[in-house]
Amino acid sequence: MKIPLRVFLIVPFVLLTTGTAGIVGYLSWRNGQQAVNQLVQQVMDEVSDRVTLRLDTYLSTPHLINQLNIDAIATQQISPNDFSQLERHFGRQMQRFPFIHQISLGNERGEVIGVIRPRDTQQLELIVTDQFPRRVYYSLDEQGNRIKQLRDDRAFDPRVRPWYRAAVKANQAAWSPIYPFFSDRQLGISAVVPLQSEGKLQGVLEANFSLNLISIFLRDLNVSRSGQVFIIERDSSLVATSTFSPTQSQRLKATDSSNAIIQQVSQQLQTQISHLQKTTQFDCTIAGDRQFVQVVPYQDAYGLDWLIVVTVPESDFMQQINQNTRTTGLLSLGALISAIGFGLILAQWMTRPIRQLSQASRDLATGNWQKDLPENSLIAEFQVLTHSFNQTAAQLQRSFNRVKTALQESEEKFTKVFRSSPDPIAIMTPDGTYLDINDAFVDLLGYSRQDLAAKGTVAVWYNPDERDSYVDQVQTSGRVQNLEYTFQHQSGQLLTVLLSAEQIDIQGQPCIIAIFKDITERHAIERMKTEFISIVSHELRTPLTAIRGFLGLLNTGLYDQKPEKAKRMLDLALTNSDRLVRLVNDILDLERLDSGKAPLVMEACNAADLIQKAVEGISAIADSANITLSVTSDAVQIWASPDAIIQTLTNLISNAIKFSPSSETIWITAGSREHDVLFSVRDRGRGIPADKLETIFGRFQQVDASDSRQKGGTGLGLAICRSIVQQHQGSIWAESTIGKGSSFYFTIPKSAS
Amino acid sequence: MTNRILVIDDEEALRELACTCLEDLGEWDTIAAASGAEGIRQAQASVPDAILLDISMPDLDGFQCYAALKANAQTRSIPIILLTAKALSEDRDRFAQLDIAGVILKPFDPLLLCQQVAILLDWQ
Repeated sequence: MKIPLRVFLIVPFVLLTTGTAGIVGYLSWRNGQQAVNQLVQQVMDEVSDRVTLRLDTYLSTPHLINQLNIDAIATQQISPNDFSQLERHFGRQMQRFPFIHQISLGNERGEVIGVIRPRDTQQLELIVTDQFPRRVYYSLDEQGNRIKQLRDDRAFDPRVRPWYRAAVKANQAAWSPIYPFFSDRQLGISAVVPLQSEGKLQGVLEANFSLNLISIFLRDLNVSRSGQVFIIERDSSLVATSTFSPTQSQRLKATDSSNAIIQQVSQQLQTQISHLQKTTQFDCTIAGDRQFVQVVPYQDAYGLDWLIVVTVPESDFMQQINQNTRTTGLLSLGALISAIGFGLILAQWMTRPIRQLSQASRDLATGNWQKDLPENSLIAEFQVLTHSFNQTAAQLQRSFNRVKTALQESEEKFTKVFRSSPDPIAIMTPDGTYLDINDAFVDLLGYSRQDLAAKGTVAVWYNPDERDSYVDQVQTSGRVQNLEYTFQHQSGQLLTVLLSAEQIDIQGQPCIIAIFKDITERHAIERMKTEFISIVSHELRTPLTAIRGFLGLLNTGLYDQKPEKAKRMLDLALTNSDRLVRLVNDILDLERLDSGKAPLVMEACNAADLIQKAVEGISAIADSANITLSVTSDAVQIWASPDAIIQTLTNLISNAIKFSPSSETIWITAGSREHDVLFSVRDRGRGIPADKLETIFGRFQQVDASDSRQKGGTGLGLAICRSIVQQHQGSIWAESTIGKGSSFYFTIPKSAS
Repeated sequence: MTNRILVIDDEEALRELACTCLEDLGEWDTIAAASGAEGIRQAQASVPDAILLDISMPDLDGFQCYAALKANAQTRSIPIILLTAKALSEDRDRFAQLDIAGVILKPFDPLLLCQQVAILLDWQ
């Protein structure tokens, strides 16, 4: 599997950037976490401290007031029985301590005197059991003087009040439990101290304050956006919360609170609440939000045992962190994208020349290379690379073109050779399909190119067995040389061809290339020659046999006493010798005429003269055969060789004499025509059959085998006549009727053409 | 009774030569035939004691004539001497396959001819 360069460049880049961004993000988040934790810790600590401090203030003051009053009584500055003095005293004290709700004294007789700051006003009120047992409320002015009576409590016995009871029980300065005030039903707590004289309880001093105070304080603390503080007693009863003031006169358990956080946190504390002695922290998840919780126990010397619970939701602080993280995330993402983008661009920019090069190499390898690569890369090495490549490619192209041209030229040359070769050449598959044939081949066989292509070699071979053996031979020994085979021309005529063939490979396929030579004529000629020679040798041998035989017989001495017989032997020998001589002469004549080695010398001569000379020469033979020669001839000029014409006439006349019955006549004529002279020799012999009228002019052709040999002919006479006439540009032929006679005609031109 | 020899040859000169040779030197009777066909006819008619057969004749050539003679019951057993001008090896092979008494090449020595015929007749 091949990896593109771009991937190699981009992927590590991207991975690096992502990794870095990831690590940075993670670290920043973790740092944020830690920071948050620290911050939360600090906040909670601070809150706890402040609450503690304030509680100290709130809780220590009532006891201080009590103590001051005890001391004042002890030093007889005030008397517990002097209510009007106490009225003034408590009034002054109440003015000094704005957050105290009430300072009062109750005694064993059931009397009570106190100054109260009612819930919603700043105006103090005096409550005193003036009309015992009724406790009457009086409004006071700023100097502490009674203004008017307001209302009264029907029956009020301080001795049964929780605060009185708490003091009695503790027998020392102590706290009352949290209880609802008689006067206005607020929840509060009283610091109490028993008043004793000579070991006997006289009464109880009380200073109280509303727990609402604490709640207000907690509310104003502003822990964090949604942080809370609440204070609970060991039994989970709520003392104060930052979110609401427990206003019911019934104590609310934190675990029953409608505030989810208070409820759940206090729930969590249940297990340890009773024995929590020091600052404890934990966190829990409420409604999907992580809450940090710090619990600080608050105790004082007078038996107070509260727990300050500070809860801070992570989200309050995390907001900033989350924002930061989000920002970091976005930045990282942005960095990532730009890194990828940048990487892509860079990779693209860098790999473009490489890719171009790669593509160009491929093109070059497959032969499709078109144009040079642009050499405009900024990178030095690429510039060099592309430039070298271009040069190499150009060089390759040049070489390739050179080779191509050379190849083309060579191909043209050989195609020309093939096409226009005078010898027929054919290239074919071993199974007989023609792949390519030249013009000479087409001409040789007379078919059209398309016919040959369609039919294949089957059409031209006369003998399929010959073809098979030839193909076998070519395939086994790779070539055949100068073998003769018979082909068939389109006209049906048979040809003898000389075939040389060789097996070659064309594009991996075995083919046969064959060159032919049409030797039909040569063959025919050779055959004719062989025939001629055999006939001639036969013709020569016969008279020789006769001569030899007869002389041999003579030599035996058998005929020494028989001179007649002896003479006969000699005659026969002599006759046969003559025959031999004539034969040899005729053969030589014919050869001379046919070979054209000694062409006839033409001159102007007279037809009548020539006939005359021929007749003279043959008259003796005619006389002895009792034949009359009748001559009719124009004295016309002809362009001929006189001796040759005489020879022709002599042959024709002597033939006529041979085949005429005795005492017959032979007519010899020469008639002038437009351009030539027509000679004729006519006899009344037995005639020549029509099918032999042509053939008799051939060598050694005779009408009847026994004939002219009997009469001393050589069988070459007419052939010589024809040869002579043809050399004169004339023609010769015969006409005949069987039983009636024959006429031989020949023409000789009047003048040289 | 003197033996009779049938001479079959298309050349008149050779016929005369052979007959003269056989009559004068060998003192046998001769019959001459000018063609293969006539030769067969004569052989059947007069049943000679030997036949002198020329191979190279036009029309019915020597081989065909030989075949005809051997096919005929009457003439089958008559010994044949071939007269021929051909002496090539393939011809000799061909002659070797034939049931003949001998081959005489042309031109021949008359004495030799007579000797061969004499030997042939003696063997009869």
